[in-house]
Amino acid sequence: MTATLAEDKTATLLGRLTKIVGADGLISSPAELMVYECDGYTMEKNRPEVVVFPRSTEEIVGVVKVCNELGVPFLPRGSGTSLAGGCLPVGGGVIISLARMRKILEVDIRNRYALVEPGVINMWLTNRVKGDGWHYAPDPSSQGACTIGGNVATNSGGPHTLKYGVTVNHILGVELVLPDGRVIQIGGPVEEAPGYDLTGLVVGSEGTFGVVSKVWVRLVRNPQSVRTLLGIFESIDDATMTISEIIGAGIVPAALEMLDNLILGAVEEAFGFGFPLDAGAVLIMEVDGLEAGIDDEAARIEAIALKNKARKVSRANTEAERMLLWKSRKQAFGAVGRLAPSYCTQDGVVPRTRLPEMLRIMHEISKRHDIRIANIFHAGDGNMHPILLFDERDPSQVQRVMEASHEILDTCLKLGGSVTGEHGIGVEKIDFMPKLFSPDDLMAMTRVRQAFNPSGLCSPGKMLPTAGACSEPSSARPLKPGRRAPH
Amino acid sequence: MSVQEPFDIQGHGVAVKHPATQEEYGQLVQEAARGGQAVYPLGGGTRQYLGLPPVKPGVALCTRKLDRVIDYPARDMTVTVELGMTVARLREVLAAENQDLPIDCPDPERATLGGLLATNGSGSRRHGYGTPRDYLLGLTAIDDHGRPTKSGGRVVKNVAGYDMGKLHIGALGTLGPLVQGTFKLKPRPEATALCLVPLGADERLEAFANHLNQGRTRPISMDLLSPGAAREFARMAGQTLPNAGWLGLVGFDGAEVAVRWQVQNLKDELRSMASGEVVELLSNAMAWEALAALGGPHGSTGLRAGVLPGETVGLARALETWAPASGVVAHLGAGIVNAWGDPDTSREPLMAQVERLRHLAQPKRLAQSKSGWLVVTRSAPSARDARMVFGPGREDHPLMAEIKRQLDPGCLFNPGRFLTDL
Ligand SMILES: Cc1cc2nc3c(=O)[nH]c(=O)nc-3n(C[C@H](O)[C@H](O)[C@H](O)COP(=O)(O)OP(=O)(O)OC[C@H]3O[C@@H](n4cnc5c(N)ncnc54)[C@H](O)[C@@H]3O)c2cc1C
Ligand SMILES: Cc1cc2nc3c(=O)[nH]c(=O)nc-3n(C[C@H](O)[C@H](O)[C@H](O)COP(=O)(O)OP(=O)(O)OC[C@H]3O[C@@H](n4cnc5c(N)ncnc54)[C@H](O)[C@@H]3O)c2cc1C
Repeated sequence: MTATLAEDKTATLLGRLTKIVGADGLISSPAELMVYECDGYTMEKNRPEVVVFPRSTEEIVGVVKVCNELGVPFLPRGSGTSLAGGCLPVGGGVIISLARMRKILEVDIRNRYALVEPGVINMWLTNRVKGDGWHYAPDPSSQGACTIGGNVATNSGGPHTLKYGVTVNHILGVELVLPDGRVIQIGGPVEEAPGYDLTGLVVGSEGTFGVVSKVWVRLVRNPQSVRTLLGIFESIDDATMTISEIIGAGIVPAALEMLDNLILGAVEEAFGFGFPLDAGAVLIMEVDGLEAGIDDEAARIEAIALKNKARKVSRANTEAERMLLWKSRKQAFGAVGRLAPSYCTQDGVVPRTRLPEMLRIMHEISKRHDIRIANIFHAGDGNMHPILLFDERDPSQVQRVMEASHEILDTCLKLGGSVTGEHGIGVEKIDFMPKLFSPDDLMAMTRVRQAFNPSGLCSPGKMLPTAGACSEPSSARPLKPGRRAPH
Repeated sequence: MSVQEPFDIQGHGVAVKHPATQEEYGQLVQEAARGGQAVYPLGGGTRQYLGLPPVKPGVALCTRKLDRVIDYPARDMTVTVELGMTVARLREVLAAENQDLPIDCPDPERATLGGLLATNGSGSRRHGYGTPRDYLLGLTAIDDHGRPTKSGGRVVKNVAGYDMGKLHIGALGTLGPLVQGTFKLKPRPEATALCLVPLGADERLEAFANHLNQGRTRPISMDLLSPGAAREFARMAGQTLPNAGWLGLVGFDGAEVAVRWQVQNLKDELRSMASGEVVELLSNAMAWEALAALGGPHGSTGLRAGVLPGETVGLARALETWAPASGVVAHLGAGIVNAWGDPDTSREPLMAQVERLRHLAQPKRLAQSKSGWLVVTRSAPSARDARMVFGPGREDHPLMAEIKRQLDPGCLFNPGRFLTDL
């Protein structure tokens, strides 16, 4: 398949889609489509033929049916914050944006759930229920922008998933428009209906099983009390040793996040929290639960940090101070632009006791490839987000970033970890799948995709290194037409 | 402990083989496939009565010899083990590091981890701790060619590839035998407490359930026991009950001070609501075990139902009188109700009874998307067919059937056991 369809076919496609979503429900001019050439992963780009903005499940169904009839690939898209190229329209075709399906349909505190449309922004949900003392637990750093549908598709994590679990632990069910246009309810507000746990399977399927058109999410009561500590360390090594020891001591903090010196400078410049600029690293350490006993737990953490040579451990004394600390953490990516013209974020995972070792190796990789790497991550989970800083106008830097990235991810695998903790495989890490899984493992996954998406028209070229419809080996796939060197 | 041979699966005697390694297990699957035989994955044999009877001659492949610890990096709080290991054995291994896999299981000395996953076992503590799907990080299953296929990994956070583990949990072994798994672990709490709330009359039940949803405490379990279940519980736990009515059981764990604070708060908050004093059970390990094992006598008929949490009390009350010698245990947080009793077990009356109860779990005043379900977990094999055991199909069942066809096209694994077509 080439990036552009034959012109008359395009005209037919546009005509039929317009009937379904209306003229104001789609865009197709090259200028408007530019935004949709990629998502948060900008190393590869490809232009879709058209982007549609359905307002209802029925409209999604209509669009999907047209795509099937015309043999055009399609791809769901939330806010496009994916960092793995999940929204890259590999085969061109139609992007189905859920940006107009943003209603919170139901909030039922007694039964501990909410029903939302897929385009609802993660943060809106918590904002809606916090007055009642409840929240939606998965809190990706991008929660001000990303959608619940996107979270479901990527099984997102966040700082507080260390204690409360990732997205899959909070999804009760979905309504799914299957790739052939059928609509089914999977799971729902009542738990454990007899049958396979398709909800658990659809979460994290990266849009390859169809378009999620409604989501039942679990709501969680707010903890009675929270203590947020900030540990200042001379070196990354001391900080990672602290993390490892806190987990090893059987303490389950609500969050355990690390920021290194490089990122601290940028964050400080952006938010002026008052981080010491000469620190090697800081740890944000949060415990929550009942008021009774919480200070003891905070004290244990403080003692472990001090034992591991923390220069200072302080507490956020007011809610305002705590909010600013979390804002600095969650919006840190936005500050990275101050460090370099371009950056590439990785998402490796290692067993948490191997963190100190992993960071030492990363330091060495950074030096060897002469690429600066900033680190800010969900340390308690062993999930790292090294940010490789570069200038995309310099091809040699781009090359070195690629090499360094791959070396980091290979090291994660060598230490018993994974190449993605929460951002997904997308197109970015598809070549790592054969390193993680055997051909038999991949075949089993391909068979499952076959049950949902036999034509392969839905999100082609994602997740599995095999073509959509049948299981050709990776080398035979007509993939990466959209891949082009960044410039 | 060994299983009897031939092993009786719902009235069908099946020869048992005991492969000693995962490779051998795979070879035996391959052999069975070649010989046109079905494979019945067998763990401890404690729950073979679930689902439907076998429909094809075959061999039971027992996992019990697959019981090695593959890797236990305790400081990472994960463990990788073979799934023929019993739940009790795993607990023992983990206790040495003061850790636990906090999932309740009725017969831990016999039940295997594979069986626990295949049946999606859970109990009272699911309110605070979740269910097997919240703990399984990686899984190896044997496919229909006898080859090991793995998914997930050994780290606590990982989104590479489809989460095949979720598919196998609760699949009753119909998508292949599970041989190895990696679990996320929890530290053992410093203290636990189980409080007994005498409720007596029916009208207190709803208030009790509503209160727990908004009280100051954060229980890890909140159960409602019918008078019959309460008697059974008291007998098993060696406790005497304050009165003969309904009983609430509320569990806490965590730091000692936090548990003390919660017990005291619960007592204060429920003072006016309960029919007697809220009592904290001492020597509570035995009480927790009794609570996990509570399921009615062996020969009784068993039901399990799910409804919205707010509908749990209504359903529990209806189930209290469904049959002579009945008992009901309702997990109020999740809306899961287990019941047993001695109904008329001839087919037609039982079917009528089950359909009546199913209607109660699917009240017309609620939207279809909020419908509950009811399955017959245990009954005489002669009365077990899909309509009786699982009830009418749902709209996602054709997709499930397609997944089964994809992963097990020859219908090798537990043929006929699960729903129609699965
Ligand atoms: C600054 C920044 C910080 C981030 N921090 C985190 C973090 O802490 N944790 C984390 O996990 N991720 C993080 N991410 C990554 C990203 O935000 C998440 O992956 C998020 O879930 C994507 O949501 P989205 O709405 O933007 O989805 P998109 O990027 O639009 O789509 C992501 C994938 O989901 C699919 N998809 C979207 N909607 C649907 C639907 N309705 N049905 C089916 N498939 C669908 C798409 O096809 C695509 O494959 C971060 C990203 C940025 C830019
Ligand atoms: C409807 C229902 C009701 C339940 N009720 C309760 C309850 O009230 N309380 C409670 O605590 N628990 C309950 N459980 C859970 C169950 O009691 C246990 O989980 C038990 O652990 C089964 O273990 P076993 O080793 O004895 O398995 P077995 O009895 O040997 O097998 C049970 C099923 O699992 C399959 N199986 C066993 N091992 C494997 C394997 N390695 N790979 C693949 N398949 C395998 C078998 O083929 C069979 O279908 C229930 C489960 C269900 C589905």
